[in-house]
Amino acid sequence: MGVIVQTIGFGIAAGAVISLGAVGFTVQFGISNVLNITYGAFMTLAAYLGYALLSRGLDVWITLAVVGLALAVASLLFNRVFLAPLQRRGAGFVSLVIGTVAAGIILQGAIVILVGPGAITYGAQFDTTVSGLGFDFTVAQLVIIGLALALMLGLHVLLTRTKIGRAMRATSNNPTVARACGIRTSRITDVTWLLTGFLCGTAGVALAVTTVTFDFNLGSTFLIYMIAAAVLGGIGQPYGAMIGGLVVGIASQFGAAYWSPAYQDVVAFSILIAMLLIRPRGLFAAAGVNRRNLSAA
Amino acid sequence: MSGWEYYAVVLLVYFATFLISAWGLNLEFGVAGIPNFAYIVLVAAGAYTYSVLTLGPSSGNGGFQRYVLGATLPYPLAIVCAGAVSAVLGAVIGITGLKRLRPDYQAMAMLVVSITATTIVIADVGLVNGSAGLALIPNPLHSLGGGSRQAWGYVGMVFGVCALVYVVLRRFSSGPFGRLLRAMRDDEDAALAIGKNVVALRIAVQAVGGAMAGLSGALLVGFIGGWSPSAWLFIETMALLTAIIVGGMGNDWGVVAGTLIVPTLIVQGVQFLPTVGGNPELIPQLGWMILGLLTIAFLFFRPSGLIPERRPVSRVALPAAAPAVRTATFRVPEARAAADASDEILRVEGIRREFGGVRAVDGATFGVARGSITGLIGPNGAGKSTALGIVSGFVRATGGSVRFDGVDITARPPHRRARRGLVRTFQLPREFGSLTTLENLVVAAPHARSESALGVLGGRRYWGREEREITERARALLVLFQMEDKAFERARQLSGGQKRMLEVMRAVMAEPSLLLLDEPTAGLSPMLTERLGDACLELRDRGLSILLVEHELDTIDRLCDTVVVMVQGKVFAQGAMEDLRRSREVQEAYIAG
Amino acid sequence: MPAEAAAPSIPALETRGLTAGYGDVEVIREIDVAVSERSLVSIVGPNGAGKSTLLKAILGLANVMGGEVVLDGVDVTRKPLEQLVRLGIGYVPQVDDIFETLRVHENLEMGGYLLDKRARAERVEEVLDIFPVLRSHLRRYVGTMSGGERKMVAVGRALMLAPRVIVFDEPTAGLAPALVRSVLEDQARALADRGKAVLLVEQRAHVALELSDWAYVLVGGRIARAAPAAEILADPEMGEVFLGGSVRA
Repeated sequence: MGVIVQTIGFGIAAGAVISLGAVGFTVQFGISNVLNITYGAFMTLAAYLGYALLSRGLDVWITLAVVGLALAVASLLFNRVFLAPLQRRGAGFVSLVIGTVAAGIILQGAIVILVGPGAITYGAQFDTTVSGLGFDFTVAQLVIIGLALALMLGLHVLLTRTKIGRAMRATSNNPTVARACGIRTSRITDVTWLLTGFLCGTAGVALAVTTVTFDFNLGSTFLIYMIAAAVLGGIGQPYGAMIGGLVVGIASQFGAAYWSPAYQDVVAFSILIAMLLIRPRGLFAAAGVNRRNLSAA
Repeated sequence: MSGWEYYAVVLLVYFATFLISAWGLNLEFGVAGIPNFAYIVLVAAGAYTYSVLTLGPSSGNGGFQRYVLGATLPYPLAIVCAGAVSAVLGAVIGITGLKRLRPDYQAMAMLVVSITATTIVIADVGLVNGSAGLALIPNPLHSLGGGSRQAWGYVGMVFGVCALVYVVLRRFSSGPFGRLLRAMRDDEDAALAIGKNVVALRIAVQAVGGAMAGLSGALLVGFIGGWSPSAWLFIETMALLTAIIVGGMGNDWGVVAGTLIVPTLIVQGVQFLPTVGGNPELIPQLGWMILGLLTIAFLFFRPSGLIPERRPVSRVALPAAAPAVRTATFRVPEARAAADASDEILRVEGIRREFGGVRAVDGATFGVARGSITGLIGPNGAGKSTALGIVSGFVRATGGSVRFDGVDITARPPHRRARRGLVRTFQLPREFGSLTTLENLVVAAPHARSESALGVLGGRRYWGREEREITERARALLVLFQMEDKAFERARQLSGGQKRMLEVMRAVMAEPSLLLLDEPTAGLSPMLTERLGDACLELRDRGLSILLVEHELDTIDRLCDTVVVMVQGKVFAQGAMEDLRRSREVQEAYIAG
Repeated sequence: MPAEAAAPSIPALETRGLTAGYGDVEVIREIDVAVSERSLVSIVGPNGAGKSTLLKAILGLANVMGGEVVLDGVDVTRKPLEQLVRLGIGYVPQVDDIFETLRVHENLEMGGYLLDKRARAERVEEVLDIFPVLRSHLRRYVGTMSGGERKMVAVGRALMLAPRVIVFDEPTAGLAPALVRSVLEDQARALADRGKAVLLVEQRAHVALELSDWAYVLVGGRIARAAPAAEILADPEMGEVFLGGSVRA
């Protein structure tokens, strides 16, 4: 019993980070209709930046803010300079994926060239544990879970209670009609990329802190966890991604505990493939879900 | 052997082996439109298969590497097995594409499969020695004794295999079969609607592509002598994709150019540059970055590549005068010996379908008399399109049955229905954009010799004459519809009205006994509408049955013998238009809807 | 029935010598159209003539290469759609005209995005007065509604900002014959009667012409005829000109 509870605990901690990242990814898909594979490389960037700042003694909250902001700007530029222009040129779905993979390769290559290919061991520093209800969490994990909850709540409030949030929902739903309502969709798109970039940044720092050892492949592997969470919850839907992250986190921890740590990744991968095969629109599809997100047409 | 000589041999061998796999991926992705982002796994499968079939038992090797099997087959056989294993694996992976997801989802799924495969191989050390990989893999030409002779002998061998592969490849990527694959790539549903077994085609293409991958992997590993997961990460598929994009998607010679530039010069050639500074990853990563930049540059500025997919040249000479068009053009198949002697070619009973709680079709029952034009009308949301989808097999019914020509086809997939003679058109024109108008029609001919396995093997000698006949029929059809001047224009460049006419012509080429027309006159000028109507009447007179979904009441008046009225998912009435017109209930139902 | 038989006098919206298309390709050339308040103006013509492109050019959704778009005497050429909406133009796109996954009231409220809460609530009430049928469907998801009802929601959404000019792009596309007349009458014509300047692009020329005050016949990217709608309807030659057109159109 203790093992199960502990595994669930690990799952929640892992799930928190996955959720953070997955929400950013899924909202980006909602607004751009592109599976942005570069997201993984951006997370790697955030992790390295976070490590660079934290290892120089910068306060963790400031680090989160700085890296979040940096990634927000980077994501905005990414869309403005690369993704949107490519879409305007009429690139097909697969070409766009190829393009984002290529951009990811460039970004990752730049990181390796600048920082070197060696692995970074950092997470081990946050070892003080807190116990309660049978769970054992490190302080870092608790902070991250709290952070994830706070950010999710903030996003929820933003989307449902604020003018900008409503404009974001309208824009991702039907950009032309949104414009016909007077919404400045290009501005809303920018805001969305800033926001999701920020989430990516915080997720990256959280990842750096909770992963014992990582190298430049960090983001690429983690990307699949996030995509699995996003697809599980219904791609384009932030709330689905939040729950999806938790499910993927817990499931993969169970995989690690009962199967083998090496197979932790395989669990996440299998969830994604299974979802795509069986129910690509996710477990929590909205009524009258936007068909453009799914079918091969 | 001098350093430069060795350098040259390596580049040549890599070029040839990459070319084989690039051709394979181009066949799958460039020609057939299948985004197989897990392609490198197939290459790896070939490499590993060759290895475990030639390494001999693991204990005999000093026991320092673990792997399954461990035979010592003759080298040619091992190479062939590598191709076969990858062909099977390719077909198996191909089955996952059946879900008809959006192409980028498919690509992503394949990407995940690729990464999963790497993870599993690394984790399960007993399989092929995990991340350490296999070493001491025997060179098939080692009997030539190391050194120049063996090295250049290898070059000769791989180029020989290349040439062989090219010959086989052309059977698939060019000619009528290539045309068929491109049609499937351009619009899968339209291909299904004219009776093409898209599923079988995809599996076949992925088997052939897989075989090429496996061959390539075996030849590569026979030369290198070692193979580990780091050699087949997902990024390697990207290298091949870049080669195809840069060289020219869908064009075999474009792929040659692309392979020369990308995997050979950039990725491999770069390895030979001296390492600068202390970072051993600098040069390889730079190589990958250049690759990424190239990909993006081409996607932005020249997406069709250096050598674009060429416009096919028709070899059929244009006859001076249009042949006896009326008799030659339409072939209406003999009514198959109907199990039940009813004069209804189509009988729909109680079909039902819901979408998210809304009953789109709610127990609709109607029939289409043989040799008649039956209209299907109704207010918006009445379920006409869904009913048509159920009849044609594109929408699965949750209840009820569809009988065609006396046979229950309720469970039959769309392409099977089309092959039986039930052909539909779509509401929005679905032309095969990269094919010419003429090719759009020719590809629709059913049971063409060129599309069978024998046809691919036999070549022009086998299907040449039939192809000419089909082309003549297609041209006659174009003459009838007055679109012969558009024969050699790419279908995607036609106007909306022209595309719609093409849609109908293509359906007629598929030799239906029942033609389902989905709002064919929408967006057509009255002149075109009249021409279309004339053609429909002519077809009807020659025995074709037509089910016509329409809004334009003039068209219905002119063409339809009987009319089925659907309201709110049910059949409200069926009969002659004049009678229905007078019926108060029909009027009300129509207006209220 | 149509009120004016003369040319529109003080146009609420007009184009002067408008030349536009997509990318580098010109689709429409030297177009002069005008719509005044309290009138319904139709643009008809064969498939591919450029009717939709004209609308898109006016609304900042296509590439304008020459000429001007003038709203109440102010040059608004090339201004983006969201800005035109703030200046008093309402737009009902063809077919893809509502927020699919939202409810009726949410669609309407989104139409009032620019308004403050109180004004928005008031406008919703006013729109419901125009389309009372929607009152009982406020909480329904529009995706589950029929074509005619959805069009009503779309128009209602466009009316939320009380535009002086309303632009319809083929409002009857995909609707059954009986609905064609009622949509054009109850939505386009009725709004004109209420004082709006309504510009209508329609494929179903006959009904549109019956209800319009003025019409432009667009053929091959140019205005072939500009006259009172009744005249065009009565002219047998016009039938040839715009109801015809070959496959080469």
